[in-house]
Amino acid sequence: MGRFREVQAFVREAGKSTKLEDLYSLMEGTVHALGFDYFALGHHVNVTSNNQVQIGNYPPAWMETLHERAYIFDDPVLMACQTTAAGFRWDEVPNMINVTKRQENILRCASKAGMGDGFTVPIHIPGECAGSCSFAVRTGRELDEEVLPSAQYVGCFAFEAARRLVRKSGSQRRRDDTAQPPTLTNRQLDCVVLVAQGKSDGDVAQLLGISADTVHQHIEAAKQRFGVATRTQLVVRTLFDNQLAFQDVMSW
Amino acid sequence: MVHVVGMSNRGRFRAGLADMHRDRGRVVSVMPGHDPTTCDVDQFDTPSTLYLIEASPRSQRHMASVRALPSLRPHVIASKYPHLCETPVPVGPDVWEVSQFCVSPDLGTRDRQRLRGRLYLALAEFAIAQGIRHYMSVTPVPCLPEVMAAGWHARPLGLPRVVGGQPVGAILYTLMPDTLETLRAFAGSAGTVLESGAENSFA
Repeated sequence: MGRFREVQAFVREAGKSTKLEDLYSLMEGTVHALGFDYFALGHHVNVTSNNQVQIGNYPPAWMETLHERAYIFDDPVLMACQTTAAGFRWDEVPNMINVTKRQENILRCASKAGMGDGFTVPIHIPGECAGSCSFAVRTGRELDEEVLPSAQYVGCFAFEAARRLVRKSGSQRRRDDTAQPPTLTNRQLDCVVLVAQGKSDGDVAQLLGISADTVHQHIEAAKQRFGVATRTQLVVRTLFDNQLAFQDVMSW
Repeated sequence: MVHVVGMSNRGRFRAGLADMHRDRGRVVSVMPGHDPTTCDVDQFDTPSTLYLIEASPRSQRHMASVRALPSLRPHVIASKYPHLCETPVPVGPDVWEVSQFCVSPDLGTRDRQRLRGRLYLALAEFAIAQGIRHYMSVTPVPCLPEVMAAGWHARPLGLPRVVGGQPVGAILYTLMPDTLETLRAFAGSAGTVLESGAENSFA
């Protein structure tokens, strides 16, 4: 009951916040009350532009490394977000994606910079860049399993509050500098969804009532639009841009 | 066009309703232990139950639907998930519950997104017509950001728990002054999506 009260108070106050700074202080207080040391909330983009959010209190040294080395593009935690719709612990990441040597190095650097274990809530909203809200403890501290349900809600409601504040101020500025990702045709997207579900060209052809050659052409055209070489990259990119929602892959 | 289907007009929607139960069965079948060929029907699907249904204008096939139950009558949260609420389960003439939200798995990705948006909007239009102010629902946590981004103001009734392999929580959604406008923008709909006259037949 105590923890739910904490979440209720957070939801109420986050909904009333009028500035990102207020939301940041509120978030910092709640994150500590739940027993975490750090949080980061944002869209998965390297530069903030209109309507995109990034706030957090990760150690400054780590944030600098993250930006300098452009780790955001292969941060294993953010990659893992593309494979799930539900919140996950960072120690589950090796079971979710194939962690590369470079990514192992990212994890080592993070730990050296003071970032211990963590929990991430992926945020997928169709038509918007993917985002997430992460909670972490200092290196050497244990993650408390009991607070993770509260963290899921704090993550969702904090993201919505931040999104609302950024959109409100964004709508008062020019909106034409928001980079638009390439768009797939409906048929290309249908093929990508089925590929994401692990179907072969033959299966996709049968399900959509078209020939396997046509499926192949749709996938090739989609790869060309995104400038990617493999089907895996294509699926990751469509999920990243939220042209494809997890609800679709999971048939919710 | 989203239709309000209930006791007085269910005869007109017999095929659509049967189709809806079939699609619901296929959607819940992604959870372990469900057979995809079984229709989803439970004790809350009665002859007087209200549904919001969008059917294909050409084939009349079910595309998307949701079930609406008044809080003053038996409903899902009070009967099956009271443990998801750490505050008293809201009850009153202006509180309804939505359940069995379903979009046909046969549709393409964009259509599914579009239909979810239209159904969120239809629920608001139905609420305004019926004097409903709040809907409660057991919502999968991963779906919550989309529902809030669409425009529904949400408040948790308790902490989420894992049900059928996924985290779900009881949420109270409230119609705010800007809800309708935000939902319209999200759904890309300038006008009404609910069948006109629906408000009269169920008032």
